[in-house]
Amino acid sequence: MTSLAEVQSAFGCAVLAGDFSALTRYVRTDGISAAGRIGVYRNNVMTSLTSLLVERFPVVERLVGDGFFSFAAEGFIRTAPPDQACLDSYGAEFPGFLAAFPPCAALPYLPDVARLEWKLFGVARAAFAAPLTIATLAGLDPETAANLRLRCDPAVDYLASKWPVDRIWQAHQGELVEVNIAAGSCRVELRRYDGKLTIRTLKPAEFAFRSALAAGSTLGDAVALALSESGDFDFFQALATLFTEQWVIGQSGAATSQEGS
Amino acid sequence: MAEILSDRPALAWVEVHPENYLRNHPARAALHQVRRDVPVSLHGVALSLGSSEGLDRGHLRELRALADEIGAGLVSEHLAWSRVGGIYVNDLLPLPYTEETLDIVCRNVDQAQEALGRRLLVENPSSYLRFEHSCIAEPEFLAAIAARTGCGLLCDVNNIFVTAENFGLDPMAYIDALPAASIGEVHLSGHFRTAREGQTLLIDDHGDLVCPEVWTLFRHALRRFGPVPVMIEWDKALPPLAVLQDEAARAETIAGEIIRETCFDIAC
Repeated sequence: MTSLAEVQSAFGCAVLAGDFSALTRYVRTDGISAAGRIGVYRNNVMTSLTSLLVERFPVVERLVGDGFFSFAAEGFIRTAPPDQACLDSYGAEFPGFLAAFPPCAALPYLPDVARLEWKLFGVARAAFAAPLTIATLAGLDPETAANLRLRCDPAVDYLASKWPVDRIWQAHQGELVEVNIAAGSCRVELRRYDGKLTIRTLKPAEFAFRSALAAGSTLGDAVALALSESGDFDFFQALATLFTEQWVIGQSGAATSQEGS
Repeated sequence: MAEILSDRPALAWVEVHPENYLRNHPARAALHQVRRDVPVSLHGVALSLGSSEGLDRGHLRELRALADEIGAGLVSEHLAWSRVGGIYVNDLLPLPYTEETLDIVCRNVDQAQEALGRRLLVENPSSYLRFEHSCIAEPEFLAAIAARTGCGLLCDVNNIFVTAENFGLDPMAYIDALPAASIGEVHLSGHFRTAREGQTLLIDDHGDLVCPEVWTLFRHALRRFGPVPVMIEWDKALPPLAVLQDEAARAETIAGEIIRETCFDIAC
């Protein structure tokens, strides 16, 4: 007696890995071969997941062309199929897959372009949060201030790359941008603000300060990192700007602990 | 969704795939806005009611939260499966219709109705293959699920047409075998016609107008089921909202004709 578990396991191998051998014997042919019938499902699965990856990594797709993208996507889907019913986090591992995918070795910047696109996708779908005002920090003594942690708007993210991936990305947004791959690194802040997505280049000290805070560092540690990048980093100005840009949505460590909702 | 929010057309209700609104915050906010004007129903595609390994409890919790938050009208899912070994295959895969499968599906439907705190509508799928060891006809299988679990059924007339054409079945007889009292909703949509190994194969892609044969079946279905909510599905190559409204208006006209015809029958 054939169990449902056996059929489903065989079907999984057929649609994800293209191995129809275990499933074929369970399928009625009815004029079309078992392989022809199973192929309809395999094709549905591969095309729907590939188009989901194209939607999430459109610049990567344009850089490599649709044929190569489908080839890479097939390898990715086979090694890292979705493990959740909600597909919102599907593709998080695609940049790492591309980095380790030998056929992509000639495009060393490709994984970072994918990382940038994945972060933009996350920022676009992030939760909404009400910002705090700088008045929250009024009257803080220096020691408390150094131990303060600020919670950042969920629709903000950071990326540092040794490649000019921000310029590469912009060159595929219909803007006329000259990209010099040898131009080197970039440090960017990605943000959804007022419904719009922006990518902004930050100076090294500012990037160190903001990305450290966003990752949960104390104010003291974030300032130390910023100062190690640039001795003339203006801490007060940088802190004030976080509030004017509505970047801070919560804090912990100050006496009047207050959280944005 | 943007068109609904900006033009505010007079819609009876809106039906969405809940999976697209579980963790996408701007989309969820837009759904809340739509909900202020029209009721929202949830039509799931990833619950995997046919999985032998049972349902994903985390996913059920997320669905429940969304359904409660928007006060979902109807909540439906497919007689299909997509989860095996903790992996989600992004498609509605077919089931062998056996006593074992029936037990598994009923257990999963019971669990889903319990976890969601609602009656579920289970929809007949479009199929491209059948299993050698299937021994129960699909409409009888659906009727048995409804009888055992108390769930309702969603009758997708296009899916009946697609499945019947693909396997040489009689779609009218399929409709006649469904338990009329359990039908809680009807779906209509388009499909496309292709060929495999010289044989015609219909593929359900929700990317076209409802075809004439499906309109005829729809009349037959309504005569049997009585007045039930009807939804036009369109997922691929989405046309302007007006095209969908025209299709919905046509369905409404037919429903009106059937009701008049039925009342006349009763009066006689």
